[in-house]
Amino acid sequence: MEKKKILIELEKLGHWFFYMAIRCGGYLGGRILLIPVLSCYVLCSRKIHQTLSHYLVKRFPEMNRFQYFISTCRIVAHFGTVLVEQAWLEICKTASLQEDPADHHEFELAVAKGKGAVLLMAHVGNWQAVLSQLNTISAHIHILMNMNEQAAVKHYFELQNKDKPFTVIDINGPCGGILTAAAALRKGDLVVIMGDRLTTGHPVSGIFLNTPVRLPTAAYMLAATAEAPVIVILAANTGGKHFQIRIWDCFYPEYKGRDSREDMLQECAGRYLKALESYLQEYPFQWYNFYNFWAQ
Amino acid sequence: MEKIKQQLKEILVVDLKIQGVAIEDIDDAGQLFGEGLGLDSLDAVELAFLIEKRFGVTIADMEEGKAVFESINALAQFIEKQQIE
Repeated sequence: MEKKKILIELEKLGHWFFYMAIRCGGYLGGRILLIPVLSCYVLCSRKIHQTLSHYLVKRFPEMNRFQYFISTCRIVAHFGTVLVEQAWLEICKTASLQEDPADHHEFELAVAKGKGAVLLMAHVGNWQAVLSQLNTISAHIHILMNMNEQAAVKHYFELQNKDKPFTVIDINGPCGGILTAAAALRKGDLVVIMGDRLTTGHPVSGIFLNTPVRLPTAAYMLAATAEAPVIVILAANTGGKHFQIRIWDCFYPEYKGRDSREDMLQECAGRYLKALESYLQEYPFQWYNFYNFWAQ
Repeated sequence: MEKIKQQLKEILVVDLKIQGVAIEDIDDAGQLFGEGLGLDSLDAVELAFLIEKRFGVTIADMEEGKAVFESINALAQFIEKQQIE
């Protein structure tokens, strides 16, 4: 118990240093502090290497142990940068990230149809940045997610869009929040779903980086019944304060009946995984699922 | 009310194609999800969609849905009430 208390106090002290570095040195101050903190972390914690090895051995099967070590450092450094960005945006009210232009034409067309859309995201890149950029869209936004993730996302979203609230639908509610999401889609609203984390509901199997994995399916069923598109939208840090939001795939799941439901869900999950693989080809070190993704 | 119940059972058997269940087997007071007819959350989405299409009634949120999807009786009562309003 005493040990736990000490660790909590140490964590608080760490946060204090972190915030102080950003207050005094801005974004650069935060990035500089990351160097010793992350160095200690990757040198002292075996757990982070074990956790990320599940991903790295599949993404880079040809690497040796030293290269895996370096790759782990790169993923941790990228993730640290995301945390610095969040803290920097919170502390410095005039701070902002720079979005690199990308083609959003398909997305805008789908939203303009007024049938709603399922925005399928993943725990990669600075994914909260996608939420902060949705303020240009006229449709109301709902986010289907776990209570634990709500605080961080809500916080990030509100920093950028003070005048535009969004609704969080808790996946731990009855029927996994799916009825509320379905009603929202039928109104023409946008529903944001993290498509990579299986927490509740009906799963389907797919192949990801040559290994079977189970994924949630609610997004595809929601889109199919509402005749709305599934838009795979992912953000990536493109260096420094720059990020880019890109549409990696857009498709309309077609539901023909219960008999072919599994096939439809499998096909959709396959497209999502393919989009995710394409993303990781380009940004291999922005993978932030810190657990054995293939065992979920 | 009886007509609505019959239509709901038809939706379950014909549209949702619940395996091994005939219209006459469905108990008006029996559970639809889990132990009962074995419907899952994906079926809930489709059922809500079909109810809206067939009866023009929207099940707007999960709290409402939880109670409404309890049984055929609960669903029929909800639909009838919504249609009157």
